[in-house]
Amino acid sequence: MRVGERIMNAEDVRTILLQRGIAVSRRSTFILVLLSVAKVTVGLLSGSIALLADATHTIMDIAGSAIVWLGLRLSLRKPTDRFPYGFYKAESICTLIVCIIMIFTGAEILRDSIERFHVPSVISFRPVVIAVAIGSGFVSYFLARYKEKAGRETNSQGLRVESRHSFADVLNSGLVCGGVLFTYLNVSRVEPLAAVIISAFILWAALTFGKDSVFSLMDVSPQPAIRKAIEDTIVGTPEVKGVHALRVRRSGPFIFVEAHVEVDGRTSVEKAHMIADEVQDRVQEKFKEVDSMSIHIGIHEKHR
Amino acid sequence: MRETRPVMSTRNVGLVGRVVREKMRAEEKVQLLGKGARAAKRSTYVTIMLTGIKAVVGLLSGSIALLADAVHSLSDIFTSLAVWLGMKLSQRRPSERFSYGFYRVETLVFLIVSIVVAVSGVQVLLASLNRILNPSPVALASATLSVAAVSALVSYLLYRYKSQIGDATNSQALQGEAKHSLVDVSSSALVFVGILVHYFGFPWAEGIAGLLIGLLTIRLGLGMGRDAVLVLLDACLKPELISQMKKIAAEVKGVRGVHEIKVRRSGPFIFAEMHVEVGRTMRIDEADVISSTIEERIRDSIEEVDSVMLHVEPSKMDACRIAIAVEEDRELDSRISQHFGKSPYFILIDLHEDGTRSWFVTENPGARIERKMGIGAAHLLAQHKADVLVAKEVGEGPYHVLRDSSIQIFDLNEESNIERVLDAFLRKELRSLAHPKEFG
Repeated sequence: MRVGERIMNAEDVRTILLQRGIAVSRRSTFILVLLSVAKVTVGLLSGSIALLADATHTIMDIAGSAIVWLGLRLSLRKPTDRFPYGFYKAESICTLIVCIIMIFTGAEILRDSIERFHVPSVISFRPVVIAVAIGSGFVSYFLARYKEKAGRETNSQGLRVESRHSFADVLNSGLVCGGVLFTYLNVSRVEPLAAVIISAFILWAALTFGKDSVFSLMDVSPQPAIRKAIEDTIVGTPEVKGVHALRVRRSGPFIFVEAHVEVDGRTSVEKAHMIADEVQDRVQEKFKEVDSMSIHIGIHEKHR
Repeated sequence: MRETRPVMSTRNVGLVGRVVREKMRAEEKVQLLGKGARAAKRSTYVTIMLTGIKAVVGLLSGSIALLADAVHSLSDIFTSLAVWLGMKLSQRRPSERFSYGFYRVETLVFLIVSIVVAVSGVQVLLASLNRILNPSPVALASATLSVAAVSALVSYLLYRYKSQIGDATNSQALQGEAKHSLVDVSSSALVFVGILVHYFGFPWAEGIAGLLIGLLTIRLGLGMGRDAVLVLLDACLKPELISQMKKIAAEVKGVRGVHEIKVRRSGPFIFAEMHVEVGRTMRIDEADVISSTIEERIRDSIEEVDSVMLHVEPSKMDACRIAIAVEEDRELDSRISQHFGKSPYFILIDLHEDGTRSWFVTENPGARIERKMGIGAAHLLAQHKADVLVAKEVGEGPYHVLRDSSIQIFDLNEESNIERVLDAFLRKELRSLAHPKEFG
């Protein structure tokens, strides 16, 4: 039962990756909930409207984080009759939703900051507000680093876009502190300008990852280098004479591969099946994110 | 090096034929999508004209209702444009980056249409609630009435047109757009009826009808959105296709079993995948012919299928079954017959994977007939699902029957003992019988 064991192993690796992504998104959702509770409490106790407004903004962050969590959890589901390819694409759909939320957030910040060019906002000098801003800036920075790292490891675009979202929060907290400084220095135009830059950053991240998730839903191929490497691995397998109709598509954090592998026409089906297993083995060995391979063994053109 | 191709290839379309058919199919698909794109383009123009009329009449008559309706029509223009662009993009040829083509753009557009429909349902709902809570007198303006009537009629015609083309092209986006037009029919009709009802003294009726239409529209939008998301998740929406494909594949000669059929939709088309079991000793060139036969037949009978990925694998359910013509029924000690069609018995031996053997002897009813004994014997072996025949001679007719049933034929040579034949087979020392061979 060598074949069965091997498939189990590849599946385990994917499950572990997904579970890691789920754990990271769950933890960051909880941290964000705690952060917003802290902001609301301090805001209510100190009566700071700025802090209460910031707390409502954090609710958007919680929503984004929770959606990515949901997407990754759905991705973990085993394929069913109705979903024979599994649920990996749920991650792409959830990423798309997060990107749409971010586009709205970015647009709102942009609108506010343009207004502030004309009507300078009242800057709070209250030490509580500044202290909370610094604290939440550090938490967000930690979250951004944490999610980016996990996002890269698990190949989850949802976690990576969430990391940008958190980074935008870091910039925002910086702006709250900076606002005090700017007012002190009496430069009124700098703050709204910085807000414009932050909104541009959010919009850019949202559009980049939004495009990425739309492409993933359109069965885009991963980077050409990966495709080429898969092709080379297939051709490098003993007995394989060539490959054509290689189709690679991304599905959430994983990759599906389809290929017509060419062998000598006199090979028996039994042997060909072993070659196909070997090809899959080699490709999955090199690329952990390859979920399944569909291999059609055919005759090498020269032997037709 | 020249290899004799299996006889089956004469019935196959051949490589050149296949390439030509492939091209024709790609053409057909582009034409189908083009037809959808044209329909979307025309309805965009009509919608723009209709919106223009509403805006102009609204401005001239000062009717707020008409102006509001014109603003609402902007969303119609938006979705028609989206469908048009989507269908145009879908026509693009597959590229290295998008190796499955661009059909999915159509599905994404369908998702956008469904979101717009759901949102417009919410708007109708809110407007109706507002009307119930703050009833305002409505003037019986003939301009408003006639424009509403015309708009309802045009939207109905658009609905008919788009749903017809949508069905013909199997495009969910166009079908969704058609339903969107149907929503417009109802909201225009609502304006019309609302004014009349108000005039006759039932000011509540319009609001309540509006609530109902709003709710139905939201349900419609959500249902469409669900379908779009399911397609994007690679769900199998038509389980009946799987049994249909299974049946087609199982009917092809040489196929022992079919499993793991997967289908997923991309725009108006379907990508399919299946595992096909054949005899384990079959050669890849023959398996290839079986694969292309299955693919051809599936694509011929289920038009929306874009491609079928076939994974051919050795049959798991049985071992290799070897047939040998024998003179008598003495199990493995039987004397091997020098003839094929005329031999009274056949012994069928199963070589199992674990090295064990099992066998049975069957009588050859063909031996008693005067003519075409060989053909009868070949059919008998096909019936018993033999993988391999080891024989001294096979006539032309039976040879073709055997090859069509994917039975490998090996030359018996001078062997006379069944055990020795089996040993030679396992050591792969038997030569393939490449041509029919008959002794007077």
